Amino acid sequence: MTGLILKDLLNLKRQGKIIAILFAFYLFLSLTSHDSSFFGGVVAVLCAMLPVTALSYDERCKWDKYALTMPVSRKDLVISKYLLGALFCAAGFLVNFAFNLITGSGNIAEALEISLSLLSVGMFFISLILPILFQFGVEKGRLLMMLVLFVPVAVVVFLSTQGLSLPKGKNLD
Amino acid sequence: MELALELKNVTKRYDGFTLDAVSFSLPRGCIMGLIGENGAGKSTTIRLILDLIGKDEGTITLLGEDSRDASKALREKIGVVMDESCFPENFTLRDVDSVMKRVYHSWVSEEFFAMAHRFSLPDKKIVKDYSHGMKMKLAIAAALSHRAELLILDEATSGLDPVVREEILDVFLEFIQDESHSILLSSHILSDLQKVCDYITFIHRGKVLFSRGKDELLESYGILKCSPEEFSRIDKFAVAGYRESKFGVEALVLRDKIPSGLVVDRAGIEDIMLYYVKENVQ
Repeated sequence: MTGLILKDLLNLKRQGKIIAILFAFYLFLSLTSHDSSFFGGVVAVLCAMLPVTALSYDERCKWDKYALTMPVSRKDLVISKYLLGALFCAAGFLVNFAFNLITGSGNIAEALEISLSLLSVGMFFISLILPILFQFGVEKGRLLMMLVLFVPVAVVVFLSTQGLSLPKGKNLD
Repeated sequence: MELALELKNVTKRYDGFTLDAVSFSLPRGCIMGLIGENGAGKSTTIRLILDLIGKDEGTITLLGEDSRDASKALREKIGVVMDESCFPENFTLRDVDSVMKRVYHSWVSEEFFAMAHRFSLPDKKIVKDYSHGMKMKLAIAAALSHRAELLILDEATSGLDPVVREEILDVFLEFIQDESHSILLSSHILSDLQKVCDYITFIHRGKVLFSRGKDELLESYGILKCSPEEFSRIDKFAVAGYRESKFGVEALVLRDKIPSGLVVDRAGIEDIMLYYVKENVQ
């Protein structure tokens, strides 16, 4: 299992640079515009997207077929992708928490609230998208992935035009 | 004799293609070549052996264990090379090593690097920049670095130049020096197989036409060149296939069924395969 996760991390290493640049860009944007929510969203989405990138790499080099000839079961392959997703989400959570703590009012509860909600968005996305990609493959799954991404956004936008207010923090308690 | 691999009546049905009751067995210490045309069922057979696809009927026994849901301990002992390198494109030799030693308990890093350097694989390059030959060498080095007892290679030498193929065949012959080791390799480069194999299994349109010792096969068949009149006097059971030209008849024949006086040349595996296929087409 550690081997499979290490394989993805090593393979994604080259993406690391691009992601660092993106992070820096949005960090700059958030700091200058005094709007921290943008950075948080980008971090959460990027972290949730990385397992998908890892899957598409696997597909390109036919890794799965090869891995199944090793002491690796189909179950291991699936679990490793979820673990990878959880790992990136956790990393994204830490980044967001630190960011909100520093740029925000310094209120731990508030920073925790924001970063936890972003974490749940990332986890929700991963648990929705991975089964689709396992079933259809990344190429065919891409369209479905777009739907998964945009339908909730469209629903939220639609609801807000209907004059409904978004749930307040205290309603969730 | 202990068997490394045994297939009994293995059947897999697809639309338009059936791998029909394939049976053969590979004793330990031997190399078996799987030959046949493109689409004959070689790769399907190998995928069934590796349990990458499920079979409809029959049994496959790998190193004494059923191949279905093969245990991880069994997988450790099998080295596999596919017809392409399946390592991630961004990997270097070091990356391959650090991943594989966490996947295989029996992985030996020293052996892997020794084999990689013997094949002159570069330390710094990533797999994406490898040539096809280098990719195959990498896959072979990986397959040989976890104390495998059985190597399974699907078209591993295809598309490689003769020098590289020779190098790889040498490695196979070294591997087989240990009498508990065995190799199953599919290829359509028949000269390679003729060089290293102890057994030849010929699959044609999803069926095994024969699975026999190579020496026995080469001894029993010969190429007969004669006139049509002479040919007509020969027992038809002795003829496995023939072709007529304006210079006479060339036929693949069973040597000991041919009356003395006629010239019978040695037949290669390639001749045997070509005549067999031709005969079965008619």
